[in-house]
Formats: sequence, C-alpha cells, structure tokens
Amino acid sequence: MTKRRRGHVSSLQLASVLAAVLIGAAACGGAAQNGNGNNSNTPSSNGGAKGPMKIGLVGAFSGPYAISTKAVADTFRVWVASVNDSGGINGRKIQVVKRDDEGSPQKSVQIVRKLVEGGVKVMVGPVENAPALGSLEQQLDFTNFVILPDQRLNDPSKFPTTFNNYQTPQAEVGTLLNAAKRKGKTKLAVVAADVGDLADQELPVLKKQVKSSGIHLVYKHVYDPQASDFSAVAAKIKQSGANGIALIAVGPGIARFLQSVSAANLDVPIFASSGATASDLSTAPKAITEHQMTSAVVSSAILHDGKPAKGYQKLTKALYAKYGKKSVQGSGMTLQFDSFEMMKFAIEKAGGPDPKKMRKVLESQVKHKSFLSPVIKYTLSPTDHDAFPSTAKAMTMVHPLTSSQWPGYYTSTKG
Amino acid sequence: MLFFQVLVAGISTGAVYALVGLGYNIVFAGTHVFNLAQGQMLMLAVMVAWTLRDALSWPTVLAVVVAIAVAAVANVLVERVTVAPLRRRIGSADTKIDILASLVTTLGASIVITNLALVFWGPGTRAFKPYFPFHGIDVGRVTLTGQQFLMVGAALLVLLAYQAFTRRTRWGSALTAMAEDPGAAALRGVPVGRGSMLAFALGGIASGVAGAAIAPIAYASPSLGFDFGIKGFVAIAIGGFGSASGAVVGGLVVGIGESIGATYWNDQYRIFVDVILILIVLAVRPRGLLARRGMRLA
Repeated sequence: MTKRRRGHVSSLQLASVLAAVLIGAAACGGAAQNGNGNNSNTPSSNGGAKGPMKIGLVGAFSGPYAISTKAVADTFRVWVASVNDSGGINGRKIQVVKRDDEGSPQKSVQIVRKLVEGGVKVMVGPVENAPALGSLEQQLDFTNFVILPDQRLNDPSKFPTTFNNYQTPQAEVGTLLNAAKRKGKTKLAVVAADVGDLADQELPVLKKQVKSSGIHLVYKHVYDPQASDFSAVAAKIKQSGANGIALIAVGPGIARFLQSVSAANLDVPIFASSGATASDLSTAPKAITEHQMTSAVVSSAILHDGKPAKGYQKLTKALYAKYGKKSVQGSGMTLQFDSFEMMKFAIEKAGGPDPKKMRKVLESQVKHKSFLSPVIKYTLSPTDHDAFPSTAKAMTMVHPLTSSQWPGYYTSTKG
Repeated sequence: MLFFQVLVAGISTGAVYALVGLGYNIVFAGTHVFNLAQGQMLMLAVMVAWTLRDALSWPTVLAVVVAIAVAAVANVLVERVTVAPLRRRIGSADTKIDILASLVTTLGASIVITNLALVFWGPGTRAFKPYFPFHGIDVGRVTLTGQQFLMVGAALLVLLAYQAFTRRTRWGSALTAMAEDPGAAALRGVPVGRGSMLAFALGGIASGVAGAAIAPIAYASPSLGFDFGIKGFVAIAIGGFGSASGAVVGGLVVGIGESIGATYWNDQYRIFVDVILILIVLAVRPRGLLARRGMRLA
C-alpha cells in the first residue's frame, strides 16, 4: 500500500476537482445573452411547433462598431415586443437569441454556424459582417435579414440566404442628380469618402447616370477618412467652376469638409447622400446644414403634418420610450421596421421559420409590396435580393438635421 | 494659387505631426527610449479636453490646460511603470535602459491606455466644438483659418519654449547632458531618474498641445492615438531621431507631402506618401535630415 504524504493530493482527487470546475464553468458559461427578457443561452431547438420562435440577432455588441449594432438591436427589440404583444407570429412568440461577434467576420461565421446547427434558422444580421457569410450560405439552411450598403449581398448566386433592404445606389444617386437638375446646377464637383464600399459603389453609378442627365462632373475627390484639412479641396472646387457639390460620404469627415466650405465662402448647394443624416453634424456650420445642404433620405422617414407615417408611429414612440430619443441615429429606422415586417410576412406565409419556404415566399410574393407605410414598395426576385426600389421616387431630399421631436424623421424640402 | 493653399493645409497638419514627433524626440534624447505611447498622450489630451469643455462645459482655456497636464502626468506614469524598472545599475547610477525591452513595455502601455480609454469613453467618435468661427481670411486667393494659425502657432511656441528651456535652465542643461552621455551625466550628479521623468513630462506636454490644437478637426476617439503616433514616428524618422528641429522639419515634410499627394495624386494613397518619403530619406540620409552624431536636443 502506498503511503500518502501529508498534504499530497491524489490524482483521483485532482481529476474530480478539475471535472467539477469544468462542469461548473460550462453551466455558468455563456452568461445570459437575453433579448426580450428571455434566457436564450442554448438555442438547442426552435421551440417546437407551439413553443417560442427563436430568431437570432448577431452583431458587434462590443468594440468600435457597437454603436451601429445597438441601433439595429434597439429597433428589433421594440418591434419584437410589439409583435409579441399582438400574439406573436402564427401564434408563437418571438424569442431573441443575441450573439456578439465583436465586429469580427470570423466570429460572425462561427456564431451563425453554431446558431443554425442549434436550430436557429432565421436571424437579423450579422449587422456588419454579413458579407463574411458567403460560403456559409452555400452550405447551411438559414435565412438572414440585413440592411447594408454592400451590393454583393444582393446577388443570390453569392448570397442565397441574405435579404437586404438598403437603399440602392441607383435610388440614392438618382435622387441627388434630380435635385441638382431641379435647381439648375449642371456642373457638379463630387466629393466622396473612402469609407467601406461607399465610394466604390456609388461613384460608378453616378458616372453612368450623369451621362443621360445633362449634368457634368467637373471635379472629383475621394478623401481618406483621416483627412483633417479640406482647405485645398475647397480651393479646387472653386477653381473648377462647379455650381454644386455632390457629397457622397459618411462620418466625421463631413463636418470637417463643411467647415472648409464655409471658410472658403463656397456658396454653392451641396447635395449629400443619406450618409450625412447618420453623421454627427453638430460642429458643421449651421448656415450650411440648415440652408445650403440637402441630403437624400428614404421617403418613409419624412414627416407628414409633423408626424411619421401611421404605421411607424407606435413603434417609434416605443423606441423613444425605451431607449431615449438620443439613441436614434440617421434615417434608417423605418427601413429596419420594414425589414422586420418583411421577415414576419415570410414566416407567416411559410407557416414557420423554414428558410427554404421563406425564400420562395420572399422571391415570389414581395412584388411592389409595402409593409408599414404605402410610401415605399419593396420588390424581391430570384435574381435580386435587395428589396429597396431602384427608382429615385423612393427617396427625397431634406435638410440633414433630424427633427428634434421625432429623431430619425425629417422634414421634406422642395429641392 | 491652389498650390499655396495646398502648402498651407500641409504646413498646418504637419505642425501637429511635428509636435508628436517632438514629443518622441524629447523623450528619446533624454532617455534613449522610444516611447511608443506618445500618440496616446495626444489622444488623452483630446478626450479629456472634450470631456471637460464639451461635456462638462468648462471654460476652454481651463479645459485645454488640464488636458495637457493630464497628458504630461500620464506620460510620467508610463515612465515610472514601464521604463524606470528597466534601468540597470552601472556603477552607482541607474542609467542604462534596454532599448528593446522599453519598446515592448511602452507599446504595452499604449495598448493599455487605449483600452482604458475605450472602457471609459466607449468606442464612438465625438465631435469637438471648433475654437474659432468658420470664416477664413483671404490672403490673395489663399484662405487661412484660425484653426490653421493655432496649429502652426502651437508647434512654434512649443519648439521655442523647449529650446529656451534646454539652453537657459539648469534642468535643461541636465537633459542635454543626459542626451550626450547618461552615464557621465549621472557621475556628475545629474539625477537621471528625475531627469527621465522630466523628459517624459515634457514629451507628454508636446503631445498634449498637439492634441489640444488638432482636436476640432480630428475625431475625438480612443483610436486617435495610434494614427497620430504613426505620423509622429514618421516625422522623426524623416527629420532625425533626437533632434527637436528635426522633428519639426520632418513633421512639415510629412504634412506637406500628404497634402500634395491628396490634391494632385490620390488621397486614398495617403499612407504611400509617408512610405515614399521615408524611403527617400533612408536612401539619401538614413539618420534623418537633421540628425547629428551623438544626441543633441536642438
């Protein structure tokens, strides 16, 4: 018999302790990532035919991209609460399964794979990293709803399961050019931000559309987001003889550019893309943001008689009440609500969260279809998964500062 | 006339790069340490100034002074925590620093500071209210703004103040001696430890002033430090390590080069302009344009 030394722990004891620790860690791990008050840690199945319906919400809840994910998450939670209050979808309440991909495309892929393998077949997002899912979409059976400017997502041959609702470059650019034409501004300087794919996607569309519009592009400048001094850009615009500026940009560079425009006394109208409404313009000259500059926004974000379209009012009030008016950024809120409604429509018609059936429904039945407002009519097809219309009618120009009473909504301008 | 506008833009931005580079060089000259957390001092100054001025409505001057002081104190803390423990005894004086180790530890400090800033302020970008009205002054066909005057003026002021400090004060002479030969300086009674702290404090002030100067046209975000840290390093690589005037020249070269590249070539290739400038300087004068043999402060 082996004598045990005092204080010596046997291998068996050590193994027992280790096993206990591991089991305890597994039980506590994945600490509550709940949406809508539900503990949705283990999406082991989708609740059966009568239980809650699990819908994933994937995005960067931490890290530098958390702000945009929060905007989507807030609107989604408010929408889910409203749907559940009305009895859910097909009698089943929605249970949100929230996952943080920390802004990492690799994590997004891992998370979505785990969710799908765990039975969650319908999801909102990944809010930023949807383009990373290309090959996963070819392998697994799920469907996801996003609002992202990446045009690649709209090609079902590459992204068969993604359904996008972002305003198309054609609609955005067409709206800018129509506004310029109405004001008789036919010599445009184009200033674009090298942010994401914004310039890469909208500039070619701009070049194509000006050919038939009677407008000439007299100067083009694509700026690095780190650029801090735009005085030379303003000087070049002056030198070019431009009588209008097309600003295709998003982010803090817009305010800095407008400061240089003001300093140079460049008194020409500025026609900005919708990115301006999602940017912090608090340090931009008010004379420019209130008079000289207009920005394209989706028509559903326009106030009518000082109020949003009827279909959005209840959800918007609930959003303000729960998360505060300051939580709203940009003009994408109505698109988000419509996207969720589109998802609900597909689930209802498919009889449940069945990705294949949902895809068939979306591609065949979403034809010039509106959801919460008759203003925008969405269309999907087997060859195009961006539901937003390509015509300029779906967007309009506004002064870019949001309504203080209804943040996320804007007052239309004649222009 | 456009070219002169381009020059003005380049000089004003370059002045800020020069200040960050000056911060690097002040620390390097005094301690032979590359403080890779120098850019984070600029970031701290911007974030603290924003917090005090824009969020808490403090008077501008007070907010800026406190922000610069915070940057100075933070840099001293970096010295105490990441550099001072690395000194080895030579004879009876703590003088020698393992350069490679100090690169690692100050890099670690920069990461810690950035992440602490992320925890405290979050990852979002904040707009910093401008110091001056938006209207510029037209000199011929060139528009000059108060912001541009501030950036250039701040760089000149810090450079002149620093040169006066090193030439006319005892501590300035002490730092000069440390720059030449830390061991000999220690043997002559120069308190090298305190001198090192002073060098870091002055480096923090230089970067803090840079932050306060550029805040209205930069983005107030915890990630700001990395960007300007790189620019400052490029400035001293071009201007010369350990040379205060070299940092200024290097900063101006980088700023003007970027402005010319952005206007006449492509703003999206901004980083390539920096790389090309470094390659040219390495080919022509590898030690930097104004570097001299032996460490000199100016």
